[in-house]
Amino acid sequence: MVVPRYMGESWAVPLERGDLESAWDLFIERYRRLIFGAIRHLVTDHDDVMDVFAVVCEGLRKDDFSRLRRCAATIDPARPISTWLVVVIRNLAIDWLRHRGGRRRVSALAAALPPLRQQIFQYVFVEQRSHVEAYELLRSKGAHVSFRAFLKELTATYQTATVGGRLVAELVSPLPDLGPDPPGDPAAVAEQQAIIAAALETLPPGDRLAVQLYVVDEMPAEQVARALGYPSAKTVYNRVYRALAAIRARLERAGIKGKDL
Amino acid sequence: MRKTTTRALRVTHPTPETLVPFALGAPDPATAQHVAACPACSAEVDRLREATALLRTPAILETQVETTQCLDESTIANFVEGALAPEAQAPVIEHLLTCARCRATVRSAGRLLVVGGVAMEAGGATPLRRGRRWSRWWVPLGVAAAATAILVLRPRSEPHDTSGLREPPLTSTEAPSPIAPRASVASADRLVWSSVPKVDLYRVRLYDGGGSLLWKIETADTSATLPDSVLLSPNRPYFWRVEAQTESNRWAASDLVEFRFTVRRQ
Repeated sequence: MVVPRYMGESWAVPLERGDLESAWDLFIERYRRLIFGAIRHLVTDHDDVMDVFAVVCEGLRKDDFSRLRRCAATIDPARPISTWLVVVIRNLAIDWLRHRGGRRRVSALAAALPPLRQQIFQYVFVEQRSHVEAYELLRSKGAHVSFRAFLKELTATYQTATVGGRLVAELVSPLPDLGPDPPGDPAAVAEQQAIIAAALETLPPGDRLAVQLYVVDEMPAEQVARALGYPSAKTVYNRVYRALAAIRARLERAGIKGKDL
Repeated sequence: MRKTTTRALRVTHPTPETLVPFALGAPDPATAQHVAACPACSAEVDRLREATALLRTPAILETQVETTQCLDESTIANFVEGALAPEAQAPVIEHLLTCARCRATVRSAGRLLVVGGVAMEAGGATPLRRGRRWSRWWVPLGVAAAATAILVLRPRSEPHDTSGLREPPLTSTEAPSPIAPRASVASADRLVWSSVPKVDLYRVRLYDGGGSLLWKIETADTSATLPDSVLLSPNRPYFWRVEAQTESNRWAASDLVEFRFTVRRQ
């Protein structure tokens, strides 16, 4: 048996001696509010909240608390387990949405959409295809829609998907803000992606990830700094500044500007 | 820091660490004022935004596909916490650079940790570093006492140049400005305020019309989402203010701002 090492986590002691129910009582008493807080951020309907809470409890208790034991074995014991717990909650909530009671929510969302958006929803949110792939599939099935018009429909579909909580949007990459003049040709986007990737390759991996997390994924700079071990958010800003300048210079040498997209 | 010097006037432009978050959308009235009046900085902000748009566009090619290389929950949590040793961090970074699915989990964990109801319980995620000793006083004293305290704690307003100069004297941390909600608004789910240079911690307090403290949070961000546990009623007055922690560990407070909202929070 893996011995929980946490100091101050009272549930770890009964878990270590095999008193699972006592361990659970202490764990759920300690983290109930955090679990509900995280779930309510993902889903808003009361029944959904309770469904996901049940799934989270089940997932944590499954196989004699194997998740909690793995947590005890691999998480830095000097740190709170709250970060690990929110990762678990998020993953179990997505599992609920994809495979369990949440599927009816997805179906209800899709049913309320106009036909074109229903197809987009199916490709992007259910089948988890990329936006460009969804566009090509629509075209192959006879939809007469320009790429720019598709992006507008896609944006509207994303807005619908966030009704009732943010969980459905967790299934897919966030839709980037493409500005008032979005790309008109998906093939050109693919070509330019290769050039951008080459430009990013010139950066150290940590800086590249800082750019990806802060600029593309829009993660708060403070959290990027903490994850990458930078002293503060200011380091992220400075690294991103230098990275953007380097990337831009390389793209200009390749003859690419923002308005070209 | 870039500096432009003329015979008549020495202008100090915003540093990259100020320009980057501003260019990417962080509210910063002081920088906005400077950029609006400074062609060089305005062009720099345009360049940053153009590069950002270029970088974001390929996201429309991404899919979140699980592979055998995907990171487990503990590894992601340790990465988010910055708890991985360098030798363990390197392969995780390499994976995250190529895996939209695991990056989505990292992003989502980061987002959940700053949700009001989670952050207050998580403790370690957004540590409440100071202020506990005072909290017992703030609750019963209410709005009137809070306003008095603001007068005491708020640094004296100096008639300094407000055209976006960075690098203010270390001892004169300016107070943040509440941006939204103010006055009458349709809804009030988030509190947003201006950033203050060199400040890494803000403290926000929300009061009801009777001066009772409803909610408080400390955060490094310049916005905070009200947790579901805070129940506000439409068409009633509420007050809030935000404080920035100064380098001498005191707090520079904004004015109390009143707001009402017309649509009940869902």
